[in-house]
Amino acid sequence: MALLDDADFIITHIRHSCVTSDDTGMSELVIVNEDDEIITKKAKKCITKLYNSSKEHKLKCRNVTWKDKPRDLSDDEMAEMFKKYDKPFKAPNQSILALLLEQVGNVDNPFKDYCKFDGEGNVGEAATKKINIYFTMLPEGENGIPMTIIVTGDNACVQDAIGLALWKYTNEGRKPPLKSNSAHGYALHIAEDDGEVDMDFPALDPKESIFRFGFTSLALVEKETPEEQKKKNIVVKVYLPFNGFSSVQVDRLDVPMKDILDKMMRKRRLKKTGPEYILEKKSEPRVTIDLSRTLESMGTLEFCLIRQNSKRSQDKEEDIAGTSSIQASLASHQYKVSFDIDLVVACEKIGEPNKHNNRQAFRIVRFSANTYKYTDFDGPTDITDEIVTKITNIIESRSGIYRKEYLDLAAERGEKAYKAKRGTSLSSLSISSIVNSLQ
Amino acid sequence: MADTEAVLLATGGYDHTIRLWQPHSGVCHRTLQHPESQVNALSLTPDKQLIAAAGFQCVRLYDVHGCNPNPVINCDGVQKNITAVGFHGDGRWMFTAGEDGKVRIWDLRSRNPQSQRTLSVSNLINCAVLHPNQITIIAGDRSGTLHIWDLKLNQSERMVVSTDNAITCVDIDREASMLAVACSNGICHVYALRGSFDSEERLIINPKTQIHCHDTYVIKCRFSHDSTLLATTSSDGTIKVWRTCDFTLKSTLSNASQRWVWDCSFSTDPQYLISVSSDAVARLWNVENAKTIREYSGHQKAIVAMAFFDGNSTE
Repeated sequence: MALLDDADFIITHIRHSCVTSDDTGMSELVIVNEDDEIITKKAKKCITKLYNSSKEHKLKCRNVTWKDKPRDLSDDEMAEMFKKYDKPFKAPNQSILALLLEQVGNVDNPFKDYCKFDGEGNVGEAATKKINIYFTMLPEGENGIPMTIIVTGDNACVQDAIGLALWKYTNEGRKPPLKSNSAHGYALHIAEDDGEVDMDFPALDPKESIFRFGFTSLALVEKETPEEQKKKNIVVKVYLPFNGFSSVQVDRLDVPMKDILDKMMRKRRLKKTGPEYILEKKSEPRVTIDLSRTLESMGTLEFCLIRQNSKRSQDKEEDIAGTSSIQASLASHQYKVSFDIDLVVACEKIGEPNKHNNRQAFRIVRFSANTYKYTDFDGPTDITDEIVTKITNIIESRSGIYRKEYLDLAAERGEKAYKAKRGTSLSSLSISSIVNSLQ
Repeated sequence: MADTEAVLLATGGYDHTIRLWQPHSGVCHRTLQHPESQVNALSLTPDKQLIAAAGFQCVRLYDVHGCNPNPVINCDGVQKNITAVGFHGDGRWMFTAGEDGKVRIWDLRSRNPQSQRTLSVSNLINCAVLHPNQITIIAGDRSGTLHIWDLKLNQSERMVVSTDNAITCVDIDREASMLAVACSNGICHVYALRGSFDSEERLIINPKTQIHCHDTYVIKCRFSHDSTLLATTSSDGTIKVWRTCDFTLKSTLSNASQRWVWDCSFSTDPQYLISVSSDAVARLWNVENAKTIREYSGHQKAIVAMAFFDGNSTE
């Protein structure tokens, strides 16, 4: 423990530590360039000293080797060393343990069976695996700080890692308390290094050996209890003219009707770029539902999906027939993402348009968890042009702080080099959802 | 509010680590590294600042209260396993005994620790205990012989306890009225001690009784702090608690999964007892009703050694 009274030094030290411990190089970019003058000679000296002393401390271990030829002791020394005591040494006569046990009462960690997989202290001695676990159920702000667990044991599986994390959570008395007392109530998902859960992938198989996975960061997610699942099974019936009906599941009653429409469109693989569809109550034909209202306010769970400007009894769903099976299967992998426009820092086309199918890829760069991430999209050239122009106009007109920082950085590093280093492509998303939300 | 720091529990064994626990909560709050060797015995220094771990050819001392997982003092130069370690009542020296047939006195206080003393016997030493008068060390060897070593006179006496059974453990109660000697045939011999604290008289050891404690090995025998109870741990998977007034059985603490019970220690009052066993779990027992109150799990392999200190109130 060091006592420091020089505020400048502490700041410099923290900055320096950030830079040296950050593998992404982000801190270096942000801190060092503006800070060269602040790291004064004095501070640098101090830092080196501090590091050296901590190193010394680590190595400090006195070695005592047995010598068979002891030094002859004087009689006085001997009498001092080997003096006969006339009574026993004082010893405690009160059990502190008994007092503490009374205070604590009965503590029981429901996950105690899993603590045998705790490999802390066995690193280097046995096969261990270090994983950063993000607890997704923690409140915003705290869920970005992972708990490091070290799993050991030859046949430790994913389930055991979950149990170990929960055991540690309980042991450390963390808040909020866990909802479930069983490791079966939780699942491990793949997470990024900043704790963002990747829900595109299914949870890790609980029976699988934890050593099989190479992930260093995982997210612990509360599974839904059967009751919760039941509650979430609100089934909405949406009829299509001449086409039977589809059931759409929603998890809450307060979802906007727009969600139902979107779900339905996806389910029936209706092109969002095509003709517009509207919802009507089954009981009230020709009354278009305001999509911003909630399902709850409708007072019914039965609706009809109608193409705009058509009547229920007339139109056939030509679109469905017209959709090729390939397109349909591709479309079924679409999903919706939404980005806060304040966090979007750039939108740009990537490469040249593909002449053959007249498509163009483009990229949305956004600020997320202290780094920049991009998502690539692909769409018909004309729509892509429109999207890029529109989004660029929006973000330029808003001139958010993240965009400014991003532009500064890009200018500093040379755009190309920067992009090559930073991005991690998440997935290719369908363009249609963007178009839809822009409209 | 009792001070949680006042209670110390350390366990060690074959997984090359020493774990420090909060005995009341069951939480392991630190893990110390003990590489390249199992832990045979653990002992806290009288000031409770350091813990000594005896292993193969070495004794390592660790800081109990810091956060350094590595030893601060390493004692080596000894052949074979060190089986026992302990400290003088005010910490002026440390003693060790080992399978090389030697009991050693280490002076750790001087910069160049040279004032060492050795007792050599012809057999492997399994156990050793320091008499509360601080000048007599009693060691038991594999041939069934006790060695009573007077450090002041630097003389030793031999006493044959058993002709064909190894001595596995020796213990002296705090008032130095009794000596318990556990043997590998399941019998615990109890001796009465006289002249323990008399500066003129020599220590006199008289047989008092024999308890047939277990059908297999007795591994450890431990007196309670108030000398009223004696606990024996065994390879039969039980801990038996005996009344020292008449040497009748008070309770049997057993658990189907624990296998060999390697060591145990009473709480000061002696309501409770903590044991360590082959199933890599340490347990806290209520002596009266023989129930397990806490389980301390975290070790990967058998726990064979422990050190427990129950509060520093001397009022």
